[in-house]
Amino acid sequence: MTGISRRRFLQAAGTAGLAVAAGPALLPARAADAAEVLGLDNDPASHVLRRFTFGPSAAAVTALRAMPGQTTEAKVATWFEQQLGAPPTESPDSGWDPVAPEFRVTTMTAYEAQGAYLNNQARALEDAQAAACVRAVCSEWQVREVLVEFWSNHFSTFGNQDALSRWSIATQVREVLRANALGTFRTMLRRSAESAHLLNYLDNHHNRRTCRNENYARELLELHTLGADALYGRSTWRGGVADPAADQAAAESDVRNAAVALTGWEFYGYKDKSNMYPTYGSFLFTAAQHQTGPLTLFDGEWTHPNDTADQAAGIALLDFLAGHPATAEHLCRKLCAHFVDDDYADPGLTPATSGVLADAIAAYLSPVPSTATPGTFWAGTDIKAVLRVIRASPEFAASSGAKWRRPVELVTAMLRAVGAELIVNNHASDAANPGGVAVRSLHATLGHKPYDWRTPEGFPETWRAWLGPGPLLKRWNAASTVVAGLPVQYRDATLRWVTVPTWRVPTATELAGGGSRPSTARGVVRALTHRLCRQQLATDHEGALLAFLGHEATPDDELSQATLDAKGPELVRLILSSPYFQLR
Amino acid sequence: MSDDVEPVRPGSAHALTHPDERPEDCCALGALATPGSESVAPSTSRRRVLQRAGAVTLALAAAPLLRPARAAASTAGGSDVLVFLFLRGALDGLNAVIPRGDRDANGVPYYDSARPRVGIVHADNHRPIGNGFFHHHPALDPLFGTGNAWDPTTGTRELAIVHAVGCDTLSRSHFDAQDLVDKGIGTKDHGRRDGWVGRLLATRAAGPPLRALAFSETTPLSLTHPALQPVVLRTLGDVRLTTSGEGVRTALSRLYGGLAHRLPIADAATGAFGAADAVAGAGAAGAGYPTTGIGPALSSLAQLIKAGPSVGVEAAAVNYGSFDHHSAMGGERAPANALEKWSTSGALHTQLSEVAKALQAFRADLRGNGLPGNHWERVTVVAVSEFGRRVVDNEAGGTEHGTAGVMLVLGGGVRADNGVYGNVYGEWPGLHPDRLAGGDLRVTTDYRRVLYEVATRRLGLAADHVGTVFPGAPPDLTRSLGFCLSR
Repeated sequence: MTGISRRRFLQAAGTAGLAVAAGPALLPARAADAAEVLGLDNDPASHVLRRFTFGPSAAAVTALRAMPGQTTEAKVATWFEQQLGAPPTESPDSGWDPVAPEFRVTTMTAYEAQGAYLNNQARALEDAQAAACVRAVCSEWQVREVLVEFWSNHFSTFGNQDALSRWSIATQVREVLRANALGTFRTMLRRSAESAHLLNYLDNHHNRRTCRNENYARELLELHTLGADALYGRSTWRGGVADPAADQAAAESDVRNAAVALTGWEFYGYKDKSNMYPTYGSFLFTAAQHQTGPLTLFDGEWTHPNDTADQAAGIALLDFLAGHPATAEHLCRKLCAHFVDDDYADPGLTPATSGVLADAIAAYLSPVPSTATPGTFWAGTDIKAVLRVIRASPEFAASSGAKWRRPVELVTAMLRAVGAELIVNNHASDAANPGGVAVRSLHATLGHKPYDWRTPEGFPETWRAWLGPGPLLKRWNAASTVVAGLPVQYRDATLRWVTVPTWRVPTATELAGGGSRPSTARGVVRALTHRLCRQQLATDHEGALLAFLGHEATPDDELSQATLDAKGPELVRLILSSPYFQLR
Repeated sequence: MSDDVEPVRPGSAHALTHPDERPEDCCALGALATPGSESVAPSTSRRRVLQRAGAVTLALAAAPLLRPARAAASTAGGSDVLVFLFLRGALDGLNAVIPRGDRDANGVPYYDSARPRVGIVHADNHRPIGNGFFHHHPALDPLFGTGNAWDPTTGTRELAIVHAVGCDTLSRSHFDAQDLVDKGIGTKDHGRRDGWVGRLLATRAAGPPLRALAFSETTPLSLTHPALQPVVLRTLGDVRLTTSGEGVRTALSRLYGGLAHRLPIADAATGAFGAADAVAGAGAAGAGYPTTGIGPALSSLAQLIKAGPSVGVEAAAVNYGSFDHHSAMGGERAPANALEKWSTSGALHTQLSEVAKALQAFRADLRGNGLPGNHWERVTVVAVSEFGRRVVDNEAGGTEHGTAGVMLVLGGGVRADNGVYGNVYGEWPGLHPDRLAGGDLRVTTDYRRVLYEVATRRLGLAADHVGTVFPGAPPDLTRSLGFCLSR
């Protein structure tokens, strides 16, 4: 723990020990309530799979249970470590590799993508979106992919902004996000600052010696690193008395200084004809456009002479930001909100000194020796270390059912739960990736298509943004779509419309055990709820499903195959629509 | 478990007096009697005093130029449907409503000097409003002129513009500033999770399922309130339950019903089904809406408003953006030898145009095109953005984050006829470099004064609830701007 974080720790709570002891008591009441009422399974295996993967598939459950270890907790710990060992590369990935050839854009540079998609820019983006949707369903490295989605939202960009954004989104995902999803934030931040995709989206190619453009610099400080609370309300954030006027002036000064530090950070591809060269869409530092002169940030915490026209000031700035306690708090809040409970996003509800959040911040700031300057130490910014702390915390263990699945999590979890077989290759028609197209379309219906949030703060995390009567109807309809499949239409080589299937889903009978399915109505309902939700429903909720089958009064009577055939699809849809599945 | 295998298979100038020549620091657009303007509008301050005393008829006698419509103003109670249109991303107020009358000693508009790249400077594109101190962006044409919301030839004054709005502590962070405006407050408040529209509706009795609508992907903060379940949709087609099976609805109600008091969304299933049923009863869509931008949303909204009390729409939040044009926002500059109209290209033109066309269609649709049943009389649209943009443009043909912005109010109850500068309200802070604050236009009207006027005159907000809806409001919250009638 660094000096600053420890000081904050002591300021707010009086003593560190007290803060730790108060940890579990600060748990939001809702988490406990939901678990109690729903009886959401507190089985650690199901819980970790609901939170750290895109939902438990039968295969994922099997794999976790096959881990060495005497107890479920031991198996979960082993499985988690194995998942944290995911490679920073596209491959190997036993779930993704077989379908990867159908999504060539994922391996392309922006230059290659503009060549391959020269006359169809939109398709380059669509393919990248479809790849994200499919990969979330099938990847072996589920924890890494969950983090890729998290970081794609942290460094949110609008994929459909212009040609370069469409051609470079795949590179952004591969080289900035996936490569560092489980690495250090310091490296990911540096890669993001040299990403043509991000610099283009945030206008830094217009940030020049002759005329500054502050768009990137502001979002870098406000969204990517320090966070709005520390940037705009530093007096309060430091535990002092609020001074809005002084804070605002200091924040604007910091934004201007950061913009100066990053002048000249440009990329190839925004000037005439430059897309003819392989450098298109790659980073370019233009020394002639760099503004020199001394810089200071965060009330003198960081200073730099900036006396040479090079990247030195920018790099030093990024490193300072990555290792700052405000960044640690901002990132850990987001991670705890994502993996534990929405309330961690709100400093009014969870002080930085509380339990798992304080531990996560300490893990993030844990120092490592600098390789550049021996004898100096950097905050480790180790993402894995933060995730370990969160996963092993009592707050995490007690949070089962506290989170609503956001649409992207819901759609993916439904497809994984039913074992949908995605058709990503259809050589019978000119259609490519019908399964990917359809899953992307389903995400779009729910308002959560990848890389489609226009503004840089990214999709909302908390349930307040996503839930309500309208969205509930859409969620229930999405369950119906998952069960029925979503055939898509294409024009074939003769320009004739053809309809192609997109995924195959096992029937209710198959999901309940096939030939050896339970014979009674209650047996079938329990087999299905176990398979899809990994748990049993409360009596009245089970009764609702039995009533749907016409067996509420006769649960132990035999369920005819004709009834199951007729009502099976809607029965599965009901289970996927229930709170048991909508929560995680 | 011995389950199946993984799922995937390979496979604009005739300016009057310039602010600089005036004694005060600022010129109050609605209050200052400038030379020659006495015949245009009477001393507003006198009229206001009379209005406050409740002597509307006396005011009329003292101000014969006020249109008779104002006399018929007060109808019995009730409230308008509020359309809260949030133009997210910080709309450039200076290009939307251009202060061409604000000029330097040589008669050159400060605006022209400040905006060599994105300025609207060609005489062809000048669209004066009122006496011409302000002009409007060409993309806003659908709101002005024959048959439109602001049409002097027919005495139609249904569009009010309030310039230099904002609030003292308005952050230059899009997201913090949007939060403030959605919440209807002036200082950042983490603990507050409800929005001003939500609080306003919560002061009323519970209503039908579609009383609060949000045309967006996610629930906007403005409508958030524990007593409210806003229905989020993009078009009406989103609000239905697809099912072929009997009993699905019953089963869903039971699956959610028992959890109503414990889940964060109360009585969710009932709300969802109620919404679906109400939408199913809506009439046909109107014509003339653009198919892009907010066109489909306003078309769907009009369908529901036209359905009347059976659907019972009270407020709708419509989101649109992003207006965050740091580059290539469009505008025009005068090339040496050609008339090059940049104003008709660029991102700002495209988006403003979409908004104006959709509002034009929305108004025509609700007015019933001459048919019986003028629903527009009970609709007020408030368009706002989180802040304005810096006065000087940037090298990339865009603008940086600024402070004061512009708001538009349209509606059947709007009578924007009592400003010296026509329908533009507020005090003009001036573009002279000495009058700027950090390069930005100063805020002279708190945005909540506009909301307050709409809320009290059109939305039935009672005096005893003002503190609830606008907590921590500035002392001048209740100072009237005077752009709309009281119901």
